[in-house]
Amino acid sequence: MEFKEDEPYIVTHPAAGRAVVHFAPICDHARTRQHETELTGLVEISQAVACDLSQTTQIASDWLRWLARLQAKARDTGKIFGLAGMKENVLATADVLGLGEKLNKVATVADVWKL
Amino acid sequence: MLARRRRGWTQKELARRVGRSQTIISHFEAGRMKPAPSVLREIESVLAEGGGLPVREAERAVSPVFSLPDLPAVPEGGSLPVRGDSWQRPEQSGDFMLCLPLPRETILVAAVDVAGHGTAVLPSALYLQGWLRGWTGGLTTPPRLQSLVEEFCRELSRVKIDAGGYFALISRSRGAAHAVSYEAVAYGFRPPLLILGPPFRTPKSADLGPPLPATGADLSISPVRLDRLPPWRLVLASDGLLSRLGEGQEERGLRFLQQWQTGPARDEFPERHLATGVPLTDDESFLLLQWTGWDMDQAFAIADDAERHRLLRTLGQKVEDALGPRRTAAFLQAVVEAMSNARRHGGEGIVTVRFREEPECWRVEVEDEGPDNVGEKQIERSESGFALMRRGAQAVDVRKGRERGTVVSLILEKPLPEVESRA
Repeated sequence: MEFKEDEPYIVTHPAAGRAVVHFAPICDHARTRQHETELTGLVEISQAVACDLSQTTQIASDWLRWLARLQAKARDTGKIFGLAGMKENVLATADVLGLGEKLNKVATVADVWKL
Repeated sequence: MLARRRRGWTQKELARRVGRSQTIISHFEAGRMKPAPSVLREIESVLAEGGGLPVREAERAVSPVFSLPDLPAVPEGGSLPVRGDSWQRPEQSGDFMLCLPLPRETILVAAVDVAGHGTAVLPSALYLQGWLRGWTGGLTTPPRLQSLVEEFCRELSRVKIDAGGYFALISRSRGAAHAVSYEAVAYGFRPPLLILGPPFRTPKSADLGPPLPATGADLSISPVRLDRLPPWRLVLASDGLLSRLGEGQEERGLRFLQQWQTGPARDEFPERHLATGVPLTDDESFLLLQWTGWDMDQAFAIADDAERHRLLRTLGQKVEDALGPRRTAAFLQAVVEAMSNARRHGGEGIVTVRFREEPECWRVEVEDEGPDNVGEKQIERSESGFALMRRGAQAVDVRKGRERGTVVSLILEKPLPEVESRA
């Protein structure tokens, strides 16, 4: 997927009730209120949300922490939420931040729908 | 820069007159940043008219007995990327420290403490400054340090002045990029601190000989000769300053300077640490020199996503061949965290990223212009952005910016050859 430099993610809807958030190769953008509103809203209206990190080589710690919070919000409201295709550096980043065990990590987006 | 120098203003002075930060003036003059048109017009107008914001009462100079051209202790735009910060008490002083550009990427550092102090010895100090500037002015090749000291001693004997002096030649070394050759002698002048790092070390900076004018065997102390790679800082202080800082004990004053110059506030303007209201008992002068050469030195708006990503890709290309993809990714993650930290603490302002390849490591510095609020606890915290920086770089150093802001320095060690061959 092609990203503009100022896009931290792109949202697609492969099926009704399902959303995929594709993250940029370098996701270090300022996390704005607009981002928070959009992704929080996405969790609220979708049955399942997959975060596709398969292209992401670097992700700023505040984004990863926020994904963990979104996952907690999804769990509390009975939604499916998973992180797919995390590369080695992103996995290691999550571990250093103490999120390694907490995140729902799967290999592919298709695996998220099976959670 | 010429217009500013014609006015006899420092960057700090111009910044104050236009009501902007000195960093903006510095970046502008170095061609690293083009200010907004309105700021540019403001700078040009202040330079043309010599006006600007009023100088604060406290900063108005006390009327001197007589006035002489105020030649800078450290010339701007010298032949080497060496930054100098000088400070001295506003009272007339018989001590002086200066840094003179010489041919072939060499600078002469001279610190002279004329016996006595204050206005009484000012004419001698001015004469010796003029002599040194004149002696070095006509050179077409760097001098032998010993020749300079010998001729200086002859002149001192001729004009009957007693003094202590430290003299050093710093030139670009041909061995490695950013390396310098350092050669120094000291006569009756406490050798300065030559601080390497971080990680910090303080090697011997000069042997100490007898006061000047020395003659015969006394004159023949051998210069200390070293080849040095950055980061290094050369910290010169007169005995009067050391004594005041150490409450009568020069050794204690030296420890104060060493602590400051190896601590997080080492880049702050000297007056923040040295200025005092204590009555003068001896001349107080200070000079700090440090290498400011980088392979890459870029200032840009932290909010500029394209610029930030271009920089990350460039850094990745510089290290990936030697490090491999795994360590490169961890290193870039560390840089991402350093820039995120700059955005959090520096708002959406300007960030400066510097990069230098050194024989054993790569060094990256990320400097923001925000209020300095990165505390020691924050740096050491686990499960944080700083923990990620420590994962991607072998050493992380955090210090305060020159005027404000924070500088995060990441040191990425190069792999040892044996490790490479096993891999």
